[in-house]
Amino acid sequence: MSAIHLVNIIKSYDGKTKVVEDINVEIQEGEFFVLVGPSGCGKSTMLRMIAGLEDITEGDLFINGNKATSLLPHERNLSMVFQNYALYPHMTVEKNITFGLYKQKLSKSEQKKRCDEAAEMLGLTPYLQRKPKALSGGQRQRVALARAIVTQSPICLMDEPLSNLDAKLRTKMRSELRQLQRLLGITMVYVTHDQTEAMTMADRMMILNHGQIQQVGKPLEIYNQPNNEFVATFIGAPPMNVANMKVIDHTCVLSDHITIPLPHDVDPTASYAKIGVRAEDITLASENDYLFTGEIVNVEILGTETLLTFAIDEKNQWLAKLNGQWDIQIGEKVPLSIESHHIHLFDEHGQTMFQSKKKAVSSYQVKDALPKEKLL
Amino acid sequence: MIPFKKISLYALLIFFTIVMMFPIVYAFLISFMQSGEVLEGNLWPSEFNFSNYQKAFEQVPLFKYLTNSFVVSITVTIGQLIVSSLAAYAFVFIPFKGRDIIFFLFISTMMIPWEATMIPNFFTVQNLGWLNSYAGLTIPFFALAFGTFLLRQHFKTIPKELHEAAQVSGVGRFRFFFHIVLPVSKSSLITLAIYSFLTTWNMYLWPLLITNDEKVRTVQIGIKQLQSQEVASEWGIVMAAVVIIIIPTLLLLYMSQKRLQKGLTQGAIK
Repeated sequence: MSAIHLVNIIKSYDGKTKVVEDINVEIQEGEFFVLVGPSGCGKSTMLRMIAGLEDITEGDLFINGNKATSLLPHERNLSMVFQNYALYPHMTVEKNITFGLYKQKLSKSEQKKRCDEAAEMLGLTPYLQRKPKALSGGQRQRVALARAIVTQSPICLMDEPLSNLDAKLRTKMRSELRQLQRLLGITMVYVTHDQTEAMTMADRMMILNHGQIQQVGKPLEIYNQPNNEFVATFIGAPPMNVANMKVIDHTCVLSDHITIPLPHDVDPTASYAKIGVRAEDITLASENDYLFTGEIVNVEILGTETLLTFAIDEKNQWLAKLNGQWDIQIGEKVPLSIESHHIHLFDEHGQTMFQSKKKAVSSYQVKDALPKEKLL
Repeated sequence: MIPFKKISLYALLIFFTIVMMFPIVYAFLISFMQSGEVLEGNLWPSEFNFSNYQKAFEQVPLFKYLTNSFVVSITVTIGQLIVSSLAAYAFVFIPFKGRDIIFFLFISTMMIPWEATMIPNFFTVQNLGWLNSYAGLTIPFFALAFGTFLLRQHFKTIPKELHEAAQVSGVGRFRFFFHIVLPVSKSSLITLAIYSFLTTWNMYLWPLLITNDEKVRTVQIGIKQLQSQEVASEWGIVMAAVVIIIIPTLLLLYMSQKRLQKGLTQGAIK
C-alpha cells in the first residue's frame, strides 16, 4: 500500500493560472522521495498541500489509503521540518522537542523518554537545557529533526532542511538524514532545489518544472535516461552539454568542424533538433577515434577530476570531465572524442528521441572480481 | 579644547532642560511652602516640613482616590492587554474574508478624537447603569485600536513557519497564543502595559463626567476638588498632592524608559 497517493492534484491561487498541474504519483511506505526542481516550480506548494498547510484546488490526496484531501494538518499524522527550522525561540531545546507531543496525550515520563531517545540519536543530549539562540546552525537543524522524529509519525515532510547549512555540514547531514530515515523506516518526502541532494539521497525522485512533472524515477535512471532536455540539463553536475544540430547523411553536424556520427540503431529520418552529451562521455581522443579538436578556454582541477571548457561555436561552450589530474593549459588544442552510443537526441520541443540504455555496474560484473564466498 | 559646537549644543540642552523641568521642580518646592510664601513669589521655601502633605491627606480622601486610580489603571491595563492581544492575534493568524478592510476600519478609529465619542459613550454607560462605578471607568477603554495595531505589528514579525509547525503538530489556537505568541511578544506587551497604565492614570475628563462622589473617583479629580474646595486655594497643599500622584508616573517612566522607546519604534519599522 502506498503511504501517500496524489491523484490529479491541481493547485491554483487565482483560479486561472495553475501553479501545480495534474500531479499523479504514489509514494511507497518507507521510501525516501525527493521533489526537486528550480525555484518557483511548485515543489514546496506540493509539499505544503500534502501537509495540509495549503488547500488542494482539485484532485485527491490519500494518506495510508485514507482520503486526506480536506483533513486538518494534525489529522494527517505526519511531521514536518522547515527550512528555517521554526524553533520556538523562548523555549529550551527539550521544550521545543516535546511541545507538539501534548496532543498525543502522553504521560510526562513517556514524553521525557521519547525526548531523551531522540536527543541521544542526534547527539543533542548536552544541549537539552539551552535556548535555540545558543546553538549553532547544525545543532538547530538537529533540534528541528528531533522534533519531527519524537512524534513517531510514519511520514515526515522536509522543506529544504539543509539549505541554511554550510557546504561541509550539508554533506554530513545528508548522510546522517538518510541513515536516520532508514533506521526509523519513515516515509520521507523531501523538497530541494539542489540536484546533488536529490541524487545522493533519493530512493526515487520527481523532477518538477513550471508545476508539471518532468520525470519520476530512481536517480540513476533519471541521470541515464532523462525524459527531456530540461531533466538532462537539470540533473548532473556539470549539466549535460546540449547543442543545436542538423542530421546530414547519418551524421550530427553541430558546426563546421564538429560532427558526430549517429549510432547504428537510430532512425535517421526522424526529426532531431538537439544533441546532448554528458561531460564525462567526452574523452581525449586516440588516433582511431578522433572526432574533433577543442580549443580549451578554461580548466578546473578538482584533484579527482579535471574539467575542460571548450568552445563549440562562437556562443556556446561545452564541458568535458576527465578522470584524474591532467596538465592542460588554457589555449591548448586538444583532440576529443565521443562514443556515438553515448549521445542523447532531442526533438525541437526538447523531448528525448533517442538514448541508449546505460546501467550502473554491480561489483560482481567487474572482470576477475573476487567471488562473494572469498570475502572475509 | 572642547569644540565650540559641543559647548553650544550642551548650553542649549541645559537651557531646555531647565525650561522643561522648572514646573515640576517648582511644584515640588511649593509643596513645602506656607500659603503666604507662594503669593509672595518665593522660589525657595523657608523651611522643609511635611505639614502640607499631611493636610492634603486630611482635607480630601486622597488615599481613597489613589487606591481608586490604581484599581482603575490596573484594570484598564489588563483589559487592554487581553482585548488587544486577542484582536491582534485574529488579525495576524486567522485568515478570514475582509480581514484587511476590518483592520483598516479598526485602525481608522484612531483618527476620531476621544472627545467626539464621549457623549454617546456617556449615554451608553448611563443606560447600562454604570455611572459612578469601576465598570463605567474601565470597560469603555478595553478596546484600543492603538494597542491592537502595536501588537499586530509585532505578531507579524513572528515567522509563519512557527504557526505552521504548531498546526502540523496539532497545537491548538489558544495553546499557540499562550505558549508561543505571547512569550515571544513580551517586549511589545510590556510597552503597551506601560502606555495603558500611564494614559489611564492621567485621564481627567471621563472620570470627571461619570463619577459623582469619592467612592470610585480617581486622584486627578481629587486634585481639582482640592483646588476648588476653598475660596483661596492652598497652593502648598495642592502641590503636595500633585507631587504624590506623579510619583507612580515618574517611577514607571524611569524604570521602563528604555523599553518604552524600543517597543514603540520596534514593531513599526519591521
